[in-house]
Amino acid sequence: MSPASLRSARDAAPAAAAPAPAAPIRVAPVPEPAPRSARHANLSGQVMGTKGLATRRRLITAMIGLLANGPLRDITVKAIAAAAGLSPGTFYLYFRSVPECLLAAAGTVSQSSPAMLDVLEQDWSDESGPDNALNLVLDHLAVWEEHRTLLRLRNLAAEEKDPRFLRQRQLALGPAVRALAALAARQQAKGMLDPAIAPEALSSALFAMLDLVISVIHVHDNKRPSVERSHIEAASYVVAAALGCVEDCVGDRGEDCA
Amino acid sequence: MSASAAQPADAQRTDARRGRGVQRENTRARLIAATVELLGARSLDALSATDIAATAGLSNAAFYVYFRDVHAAVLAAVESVAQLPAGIVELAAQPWTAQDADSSVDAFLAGYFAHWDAWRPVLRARNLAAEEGRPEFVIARQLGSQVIADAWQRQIAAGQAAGRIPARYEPRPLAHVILALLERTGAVQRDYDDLGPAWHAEYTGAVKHTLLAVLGFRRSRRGV
Repeated sequence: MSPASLRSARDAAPAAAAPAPAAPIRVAPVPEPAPRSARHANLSGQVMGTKGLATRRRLITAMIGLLANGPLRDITVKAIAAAAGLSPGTFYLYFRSVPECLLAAAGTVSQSSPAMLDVLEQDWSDESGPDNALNLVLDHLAVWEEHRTLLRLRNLAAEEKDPRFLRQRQLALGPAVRALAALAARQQAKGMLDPAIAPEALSSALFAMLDLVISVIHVHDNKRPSVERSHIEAASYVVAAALGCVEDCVGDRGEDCA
Repeated sequence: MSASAAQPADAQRTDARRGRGVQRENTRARLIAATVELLGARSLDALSATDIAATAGLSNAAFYVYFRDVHAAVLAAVESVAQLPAGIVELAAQPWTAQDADSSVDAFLAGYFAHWDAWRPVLRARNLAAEEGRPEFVIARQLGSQVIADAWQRQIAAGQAAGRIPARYEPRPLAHVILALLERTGAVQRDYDDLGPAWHAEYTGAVKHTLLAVLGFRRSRRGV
């Protein structure tokens, strides 16, 4: 059974409009907030209650809304506050700068969706392996389609070696990376994957690949402005092959691998 | 401002035997070398025309004779170094066999990562600018990938002809996915140096395994 024949309805989905060009991100080094109870206090040191947390969330939501309409470089503190129906002074109670608000916004996105974790917990050692790989790629893509702008900006900042954004990426992908590593270890225990391969390294490499395929594949080929079905299938083949799930080959020596 | 007026008052101008064209090329090359040098120490955003000119030992005005802005200088740097060595491209294009696949992938990865190690700051600046949506960098990145994408496409087609790779996957998209795996590894492998040399070797080992598996040289050992 070809994985390509499955989930055709979902396959048709990915066709996002080209994202607006992202502005370079300049994040001035900011001293880490006080460690103790820092997560619950605003910048004035006041402990945030329900109301404070809701205000902070309003600012983040406003920021995400503005990102959908224009590049980061055009977004000002004043605009975020206005979109949230608050004063700029209120903004500065919660964030020092626009990039810091962006960091918080990026922190709201998990790239380890329940659907992904679910497919990674399946047994891939039988003939369902290639289908599971396809589902994994589609689930990963679904998160990207929903949060494309934020994820692109986060990865750009991480690429510039901003450690806070790098950490955001690790947090967002962490559960999925660990689940894929555990899956690789199970494949090894079943004799389907070379035991010399480090499961964590394989998992990290495959997720790095998926992130890049999805975010910049259009860069390689102008005529394809979005992630297309053929790329999704190719990526799912790579994941399946790396995990020892591909069997319908003949091999150089003519043996049937199935 | 004419080009000659912008030349620095140094030995270059006194070398009367050189043609003006050669002189121009040298000045331009010095600015490009300075750009490459500075990219190794700071991010693209922090680069200024003044710094590039100063590093090259030239005036600010000289910079603007050759380049419109910093991005134009970076683009010139990209164009001067971004090509993979022909031998590495050839290695990827030449169909591998079960006998030589292991040594071929080792040689390819060593050459590919050596290229990244040598030019990482410039290549990262290129990718970053492309990601930011600057069309000239998108094109530069495209041109840089095209040759190696073509090579992988041929390798995949050969694998399909040999029955090692399922025929239903289109070679071009599969080549792009392989490039994504390689490029990300090339770009970030030094970011995680603090995780130690063991992580480095494990990551490269995982990439090697994935390449061999995709090309059909490493299959499930179920039933063996």
